[in-house]
Amino acid sequence: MRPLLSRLLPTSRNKGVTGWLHSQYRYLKFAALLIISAFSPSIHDRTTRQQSARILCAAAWQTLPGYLLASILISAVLTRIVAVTADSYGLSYLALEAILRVFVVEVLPLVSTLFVAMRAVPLAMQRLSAIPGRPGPTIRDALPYAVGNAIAVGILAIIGGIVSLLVAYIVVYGFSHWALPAYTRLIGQVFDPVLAIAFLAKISLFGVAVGVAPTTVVLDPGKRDAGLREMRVMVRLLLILVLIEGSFLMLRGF
Amino acid sequence: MSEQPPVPVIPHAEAKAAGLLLLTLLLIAAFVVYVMTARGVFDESQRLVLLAENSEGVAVGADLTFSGFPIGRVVRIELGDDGKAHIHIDVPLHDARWLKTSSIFTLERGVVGGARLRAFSGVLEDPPLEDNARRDVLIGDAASGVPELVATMHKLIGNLERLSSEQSPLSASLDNVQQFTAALNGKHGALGALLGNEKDVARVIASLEQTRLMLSEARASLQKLDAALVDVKAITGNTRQATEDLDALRAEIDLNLRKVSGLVDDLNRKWPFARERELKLP
Repeated sequence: MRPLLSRLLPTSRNKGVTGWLHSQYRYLKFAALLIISAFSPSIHDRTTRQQSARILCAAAWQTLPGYLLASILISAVLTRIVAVTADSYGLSYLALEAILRVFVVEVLPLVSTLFVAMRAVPLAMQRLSAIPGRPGPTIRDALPYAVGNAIAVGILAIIGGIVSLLVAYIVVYGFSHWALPAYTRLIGQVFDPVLAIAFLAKISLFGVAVGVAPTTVVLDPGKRDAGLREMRVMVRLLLILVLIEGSFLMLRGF
Repeated sequence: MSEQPPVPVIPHAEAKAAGLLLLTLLLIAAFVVYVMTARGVFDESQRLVLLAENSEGVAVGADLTFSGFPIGRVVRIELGDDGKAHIHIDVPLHDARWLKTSSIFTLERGVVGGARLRAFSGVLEDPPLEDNARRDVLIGDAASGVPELVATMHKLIGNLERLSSEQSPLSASLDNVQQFTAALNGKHGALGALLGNEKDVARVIASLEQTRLMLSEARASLQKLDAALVDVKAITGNTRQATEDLDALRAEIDLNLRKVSGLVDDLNRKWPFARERELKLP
């Protein structure tokens, strides 16, 4: 008997553009199936929860120190560069706002997403690749990777963002607390309701992309080279991330 | 269920995952409260409406500053029925004390960055600004004068073009000036430039010659008159001298008369019988 996934999402025999479109549609259906499953309480039994916790720890807990160090260094260097450059043009009052809008809101979620992706994709590829002669992985197998990686993106983006806010303050004002009211006001100005919702939506979509993209490997037959398949998944993921980022940039224009 | 090898075992993975989730949720909640506080959601505030001819550069969320400190925030911008931009500003009550009935509000636009709304309260003893107050805003814009300046420059350049064109009165005047200076440099100089034709110039020159001759004759006559005046002066001197002699003669006569009078008085005294006291002088 054919596995459930094979029956639900049959492989296309067409070649060319039609075959490519069919395979993309297959990925989309798989992603929808995975997302619906993630919101189905019955599928989250003890084993799945434990597996999700392990994936989450592997993607977030173990990467957190390195990620925090990288975010602190990058945010400190970028803040310093922007502050000095803005000061040389007499625009120092715009430096912090530029840092918040460019680095914390735009760059950092992307960095955290790529950080998780670098860790998650090889792991998912290794675990979820179909082994010839054995039954392929199921939705229940893929779900912990999707959930764990998606939540890891959110955790890293939120923690990294808040740490970067602190670093930017310290780099610009030092350890003086007298600039806190002005900084608080600036954060209030930058994170208006629309931007806050867009920020959270972007992190969520990045999380879904990083969660779902590596698990699509279960749809690929296990005949190809592992490196090539990993490359294909990474390219697919980057394309999705670029599409999400581009969509938000377009929406901000309206 | 598949037979793939499990994920590497991480000790207390569930507890760590729960801790991370809890930490993230707490951070999100704290950040939301922080941002809401920063945006003044929990502050009681009063509304101020600024009426501007142009709200360009003003954005929702922009600050209203007083002495460089933000005391209010733009919450809404709308185009009013009067055709003016209505900028609604929420001012927290603890900051509203700086706004007085006599306060003035300015909107300044720089070359970069957004517009800046500023409040100035000259007399802090004035009564505080009431809620929902509407005030006109003064616009100070470094670049707003540029279109007017360009329009004035266009007008000025047009005038200059009209002035400098070949048919312009100025050009004709300059031509006349050129002719005048050419005449000045000509044979008869300024006289030729003033009179314009040779005939008049010749008449004027002839008149001048006659005048010169008349002046020469007058000079000779005056020399003769001078000689006569010298004679008159001499006569006058002689007359003055004669007059002085007459004065001396008169003084002598007066003296002689007094002597004769004294002599008569002596005779009268010595001649007591004489009745006739009168003495007849020759």
